[in-house]
Amino acid sequence: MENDLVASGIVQRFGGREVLRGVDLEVPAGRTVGLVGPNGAGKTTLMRILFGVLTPDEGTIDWLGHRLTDADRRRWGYMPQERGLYRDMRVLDQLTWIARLHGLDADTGRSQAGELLERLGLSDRGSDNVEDLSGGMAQRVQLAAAMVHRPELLVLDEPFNGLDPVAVEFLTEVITDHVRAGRHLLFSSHQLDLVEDLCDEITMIDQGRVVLRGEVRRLKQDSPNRYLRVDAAVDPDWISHGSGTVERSDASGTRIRLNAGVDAADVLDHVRARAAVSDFAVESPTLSELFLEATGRREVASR
Amino acid sequence: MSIVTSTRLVAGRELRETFRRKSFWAVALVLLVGSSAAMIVPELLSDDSDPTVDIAVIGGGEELRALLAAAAERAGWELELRTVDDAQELRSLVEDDEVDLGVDANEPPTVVVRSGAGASMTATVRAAVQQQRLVGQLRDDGLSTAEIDAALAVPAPRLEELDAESEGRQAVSFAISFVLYLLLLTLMVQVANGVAIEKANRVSEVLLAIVRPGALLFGKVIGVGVGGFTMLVAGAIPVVVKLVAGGDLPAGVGGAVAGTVVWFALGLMLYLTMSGALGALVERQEQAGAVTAPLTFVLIGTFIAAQSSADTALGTVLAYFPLTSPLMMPSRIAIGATSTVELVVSLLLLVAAIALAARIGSTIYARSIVRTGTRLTVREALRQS
Repeated sequence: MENDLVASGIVQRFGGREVLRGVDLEVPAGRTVGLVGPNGAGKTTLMRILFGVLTPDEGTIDWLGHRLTDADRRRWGYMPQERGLYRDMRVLDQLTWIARLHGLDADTGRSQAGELLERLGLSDRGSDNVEDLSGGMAQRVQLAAAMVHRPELLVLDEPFNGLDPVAVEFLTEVITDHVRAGRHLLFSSHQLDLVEDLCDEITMIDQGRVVLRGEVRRLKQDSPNRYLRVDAAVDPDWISHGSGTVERSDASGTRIRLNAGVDAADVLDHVRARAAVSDFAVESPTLSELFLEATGRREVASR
Repeated sequence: MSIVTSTRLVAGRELRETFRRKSFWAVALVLLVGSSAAMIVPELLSDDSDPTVDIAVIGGGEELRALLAAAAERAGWELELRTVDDAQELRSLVEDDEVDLGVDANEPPTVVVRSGAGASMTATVRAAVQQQRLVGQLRDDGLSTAEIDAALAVPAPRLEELDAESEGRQAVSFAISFVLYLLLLTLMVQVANGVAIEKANRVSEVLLAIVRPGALLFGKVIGVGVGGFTMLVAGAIPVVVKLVAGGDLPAGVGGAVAGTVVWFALGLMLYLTMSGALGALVERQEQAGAVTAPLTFVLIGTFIAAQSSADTALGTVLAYFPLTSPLMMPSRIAIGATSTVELVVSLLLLVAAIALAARIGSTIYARSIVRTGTRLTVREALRQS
């Protein structure tokens, strides 16, 4: 908690509509945290609240053990979903100016902006207007605008939207670097399967409520929809009661449904003690499947 | 970082980007050249010596000519006399503006002028004509030349023309109002546009995560305002130079310039704050003009009123009202229609209005700037959450 961003009981109403209905969120240092859920779930609203763009009707936000202040926020970085920069301003000028708004002096801001542009492969475009850049370059500049002051918490709203594969890889690298440095990172996405491997932890929201929250590994392990597949015939009696049940057995092998929280390796050991296994796999649910489990819906509806 | 620092940074960016635009310098140059021309051209046209008065005369002999010359010297004119033969020619000369004035010394003596001719010139000439007849009368009565001269030595009453410079003052007042009006209109649209672009571009969301809405709004107002003031200075430099150099400016220009600076600066803050808040309401940049239309109408109305009725009761009322005083006051100062009480009260009301506009404006701005997807009304922005 001491090293976390903790939002508790956030309620936001627009007119009579409740967009967030008591949302809790934790972002620990050094972990990649994904805020996931379908479009319209309230992800952007929550991020805007974190940054004080909106004032919530209820709820509190704590940062590193104390109530969040504007001064804390100034050391954060935010890349909104709706990308926005001054189109008729020079890239380097713009980044330097944003760094200064974050409290850096002009020289430090300019040198950090320069370094970041270098890292983003844009060092020769610093004196171009943003409007003269290609879409991909402008997106990198947008990311630079969120990071130029080396924020303690980096918040990216749908950062993968509209990125080509190269850019996705690049962004993943940036996120990983940031987290490895022991800093805080929160990003949102409605493309659950795309970000599956990137997240250490997720907070999954739907219709303004948290439907699932925790470490991705644990959430998968705790899911009742996890299977062990082996290329051997398995007698149901081999599987100890409480660890799983044989779902299907055919010529290609056996599919065992694992009970929530059970160690798949233990079950595999049980099977291997009785039959030769040359190939096996654990089929964990995807984030989409976890979402469907948690909401009882049949598909991840996009609104 | 304080709100002052962030406001300064926002204003600084606005100014830097303004100064980076070539169009800004082009307009400033046009203002400087235009204003210089307005100061210099009258100097060139009126040769600095005494005004010339052209008079056509029928009859009257040397005596009348001598009297006219003496009168012209007293009045400080350069006299151009020409003799014509008949009354018809005289009249057509006057009518065609070939001469300023015609004198028919034959019975009954007549002075011919165009309607609206300078009263003092007419009076002086009439006096000279009358004098000539008086001399003849006295001579006929048997007075000696010495006696006649003594009688005529009684000085004629000095003529004092009031409000002689009223035309000059009106011209100054018009010029000032017109420049202010255009500048205010331009800057207002610039602020509303700028805010609308920031909203449409979604830069505002990036910025709002870093600085308070108030700093964004006032930073823009100050930045654009200072840019506009630079323009005004470009236009005012020639006036000030001429003032300092002691050129022949219409009276009241000095006060008008000082009053203009004060009221314009404050009026600018008021109008720009309001247009910034209004600009945040729109969904697309093209709507920025429409949303500031009410302010534009007020400006147009005030501009017309400042030209036509600055010294009327309407002018007095508008001089107090904060939305209209920034344009009305400089005009009233230029024509000398203000009182100290009016100046002070008007100024206080204007400052109070700015404080109010700042409060309401930043609320509207903060609530509207991230609500995209629809054009909001002021009431919606103020009512919601």
